[in-house]
Amino acid sequence: MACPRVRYLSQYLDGAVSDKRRKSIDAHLASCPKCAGILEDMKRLGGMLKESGRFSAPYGFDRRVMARVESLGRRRRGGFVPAFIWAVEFAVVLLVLVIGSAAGLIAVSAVRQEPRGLSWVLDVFDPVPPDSIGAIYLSAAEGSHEK
Amino acid sequence: MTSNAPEPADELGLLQRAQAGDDSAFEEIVLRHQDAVYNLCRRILGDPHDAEDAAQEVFVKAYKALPGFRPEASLSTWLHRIAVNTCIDYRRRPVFEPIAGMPDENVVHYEPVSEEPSPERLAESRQTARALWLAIGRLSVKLRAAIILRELYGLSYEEIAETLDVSVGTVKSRLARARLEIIDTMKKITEQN
Repeated sequence: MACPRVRYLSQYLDGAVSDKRRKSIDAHLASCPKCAGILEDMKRLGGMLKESGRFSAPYGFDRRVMARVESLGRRRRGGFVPAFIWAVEFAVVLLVLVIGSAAGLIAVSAVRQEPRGLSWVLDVFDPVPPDSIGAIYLSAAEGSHEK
Repeated sequence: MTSNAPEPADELGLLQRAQAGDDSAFEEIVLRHQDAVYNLCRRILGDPHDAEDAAQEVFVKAYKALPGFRPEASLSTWLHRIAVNTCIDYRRRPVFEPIAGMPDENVVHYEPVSEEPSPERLAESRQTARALWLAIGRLSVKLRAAIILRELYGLSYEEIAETLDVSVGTVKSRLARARLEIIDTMKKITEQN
């Protein structure tokens, strides 16, 4: 069965235990060869890992990253410009609709307010003035119909 | 490495330029951090191709998240956090070297950094070094990340907690488990041989 103190050895190794616990573990290590052995193994493990060296990024890594990033950037920038153009187009269409509607309303209201008899409808034309060429023509035409 | 150290003034300037959309500033950030990020991915994943894929993904994620990054956190801590999470999420099955009598899942095969062993490495037996990396490859990714950040990157418990986004208590627990599991696995490997 594992010694219960073994769970503190990792923190003890890293200096992350209180003074009280450190003293307690110090005393324990003197009388427990198993824990002392595990602590030595932990120290050796750390030493081996520290000496294992570090890998460098492969040649061209940064260029490959930037190629991916730049395609994202183009999409991001490309996403902004059309959005701006769309906003302008929408504003222009809206403006045209508003102006058109306003002009239509003005025209309709002008027709409604127009005094009857001036124009627009056929039954409001003035009668043919007497002794005019039109009146002579009309009387001649009506005479030929009566025959 | 002290990842919680304040950002150098020029790094802060680079960060601000990158956040404003200057891709050349972001490229400089990549150049400065690519080795640390790649090494971390390589140590966690083992396979060099997987490590490069993951490390590229780290910078792409960072680029996308750059506008929301606040410099209260260290840039390297932030990148390492993305790296660990990317490696945890990395579902591609790693190249592995099975250990007889043990389940193969999560076993990672590590290659030496260089064909030329260092003088220190010469002092260690090849058998022990092989057993060490096989044992690390047997750890869960979360335990592996904790032990690598502590022993290879020299981060404090608090820095590891910030990087892994867990409590300091969890870091203590993971490190203790990782160390004990590595020692136990190494003994089993040695006995088999």
